[in-house]
Amino acid sequence: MELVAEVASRMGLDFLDTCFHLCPSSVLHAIGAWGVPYRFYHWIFGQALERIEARHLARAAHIYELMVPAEPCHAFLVKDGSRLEMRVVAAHVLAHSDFFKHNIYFSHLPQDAVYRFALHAGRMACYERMYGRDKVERILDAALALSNQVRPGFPKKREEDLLFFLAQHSPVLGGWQRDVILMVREEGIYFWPQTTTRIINEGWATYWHTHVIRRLPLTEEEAVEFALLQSSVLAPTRFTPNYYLLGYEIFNYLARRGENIFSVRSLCDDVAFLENYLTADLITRLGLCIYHQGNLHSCDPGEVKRKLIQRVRNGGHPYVLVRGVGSRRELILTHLYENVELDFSGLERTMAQVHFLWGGNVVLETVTRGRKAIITYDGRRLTLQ
Amino acid sequence: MGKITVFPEDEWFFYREGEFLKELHRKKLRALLRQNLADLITQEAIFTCRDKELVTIPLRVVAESGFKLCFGGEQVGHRAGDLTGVRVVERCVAGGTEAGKEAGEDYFEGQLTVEELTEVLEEELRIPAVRPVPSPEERKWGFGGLRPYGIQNNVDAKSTLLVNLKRNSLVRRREVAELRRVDFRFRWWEEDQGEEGELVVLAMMDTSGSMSQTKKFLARSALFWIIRLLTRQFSRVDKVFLTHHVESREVSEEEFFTKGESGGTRFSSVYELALRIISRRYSGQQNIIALHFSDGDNLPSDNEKCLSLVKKLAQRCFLFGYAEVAAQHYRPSSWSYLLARLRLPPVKTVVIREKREVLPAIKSMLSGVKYESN
Repeated sequence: MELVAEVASRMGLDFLDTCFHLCPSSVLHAIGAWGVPYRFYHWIFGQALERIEARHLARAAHIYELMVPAEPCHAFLVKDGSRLEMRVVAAHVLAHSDFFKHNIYFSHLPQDAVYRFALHAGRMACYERMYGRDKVERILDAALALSNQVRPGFPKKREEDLLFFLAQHSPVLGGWQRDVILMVREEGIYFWPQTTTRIINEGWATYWHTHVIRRLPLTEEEAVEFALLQSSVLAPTRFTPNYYLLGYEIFNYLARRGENIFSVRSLCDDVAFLENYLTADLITRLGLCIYHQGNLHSCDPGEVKRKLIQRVRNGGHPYVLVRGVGSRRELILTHLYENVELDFSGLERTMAQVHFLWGGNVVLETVTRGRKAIITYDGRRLTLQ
Repeated sequence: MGKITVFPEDEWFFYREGEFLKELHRKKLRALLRQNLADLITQEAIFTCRDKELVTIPLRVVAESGFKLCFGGEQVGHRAGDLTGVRVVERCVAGGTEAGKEAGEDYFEGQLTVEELTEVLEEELRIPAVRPVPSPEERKWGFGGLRPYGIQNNVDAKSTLLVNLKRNSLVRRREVAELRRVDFRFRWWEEDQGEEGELVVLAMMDTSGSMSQTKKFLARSALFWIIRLLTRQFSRVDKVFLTHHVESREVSEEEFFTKGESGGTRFSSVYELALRIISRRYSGQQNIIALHFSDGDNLPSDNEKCLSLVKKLAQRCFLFGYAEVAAQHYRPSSWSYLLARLRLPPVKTVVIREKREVLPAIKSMLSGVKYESN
């Protein structure tokens, strides 16, 4: 690993202090479900874990490493890889670490991320003892459902942030419940940059592990092993773009053109990365296309690019802000419409969660079928106007 | 360049958090199961499958809610067979900094065996696992398993020598020698649990013209679960199937559920038959239940006779259940009124009009059931 680090830094990578933790794959899966090694307990993480393990058993996915961006940066690796595998993973990890250090979206990395999560877990356990498991779970169900609505630095007025507003102004919540919501919000903010930089981050790491390994002396067997590994990582997948391949190809293309890839990795998130550097030529070469209900729909580069960016903008989540409180104490929310409409199938359940936290009627302004729409939830059902 | 530190695997020795997380999820699923029980137990797949086989049941998962976007079935991906030398694989990508979540997964397909479903049902219905404690003189004792400690009288020579031989062979000595404390194995006294009780189920079904397939299905599912739940308490269950219209006869289980006949209805004939079978075959038997499924169209002139027969049956059975499988919006028949007026503890009447009523029906039939174990 020292060798890899040396080669990588000679090639220009400048990474954070990094802790490599070797661990069994069962631990890796749990960290994958949680996002960090210790966090509060909720059954939804159990569900995520079951899914990861099912995919692992079906040999559909193999997790080599997981990273917790912080200072120092933590990387969790499976212990039983071959020498080459460990080197590839180490190079990959160091490139991630470099990304976390330089990318502007990670500029507010908390130094004590791992400890803050553990701290939250302790507090949550305390609330469970004081108020009962079920009550804490009920609040967490609702808060976690809304945790994809946090944006670090956005909105400018904090009062517009849904979770923050509920924690501050909900008339029905007790002090500890507000605390639970704020903890969930803080954790959501921590994870947010990771969801908006997946393509560029994985592309960057894949680009660097490839180039670092090429500089290392390999035996014949190792060269073959590396080729196999690389082909499994970069295999194009149907129905979902392979982010590793996509990011890797873009960085290769930029490097060939003589662009400064270091400044690209510092300044871009996924949307900017794709918007600026995913050319029509690359789209055709990667065979990217749009499927409609499982059938090939279109390969037009412009359309593919537009659809792809829609998918990654905000991590593929809608953004809902608080407008204010209406004359009849109803909470007014507004969906920032960006050409993709809300999914109505699960909307009632989500609105019910907001209703629970707010303790009154909830109104949502959005766009459906190209027209403005106002949706009200009164505790029993949705009404559309 | 940052500093690199490598931590060995040891620090994870006590890491059990994954197990806790999964347990929480399992608990949640069980709770969901309980909520949907009324729908689940009337799934047809259950009746055609064996005990250990898995039935797939769709469960609605409440979480994963949250505002979502609707992409209208559109996906972006790579084209198959387009890239030279590369095969498009239909699987997820390796590695990753975060576990990918597929959007729009509202349903969780749970799989469980009928056995597990029965357990949940048992918990839900709070059926007491009644096993009366036998009086001291009835207790039987016998030698049970082997333990490394005990009194000298109970030394089990054979296994003691075997253990010694095994220990010696580890150091390549092929003999019994140097008998040590650790080699000794002692037999252990254990209470003989003995045979559990035997249960006799008399199932009676109306096969008159008015019993439609849907009504039969309701009867069948209720009967299936009642027998199943009671079976768990007994080592042996004898099932007797009787069908009736004006006349009655004993049939096989298969025939009982499938055969349709026509004609009018006279309950007294089947009650007489049931009493005859009890006195002839099960005269010494304590645990008998009689279940009668009908849509209630008894000949009014027959009711008086039936009542006296039911009273006799009630003396012999710890449960006489009468389930009226009726069409929707149907009022209970006069016969079920008469039965309810009897106010005999073993007699229970329920009405099942639709699938969702099967669970409450089972519940009220089995609540407060008291039976003896022999």
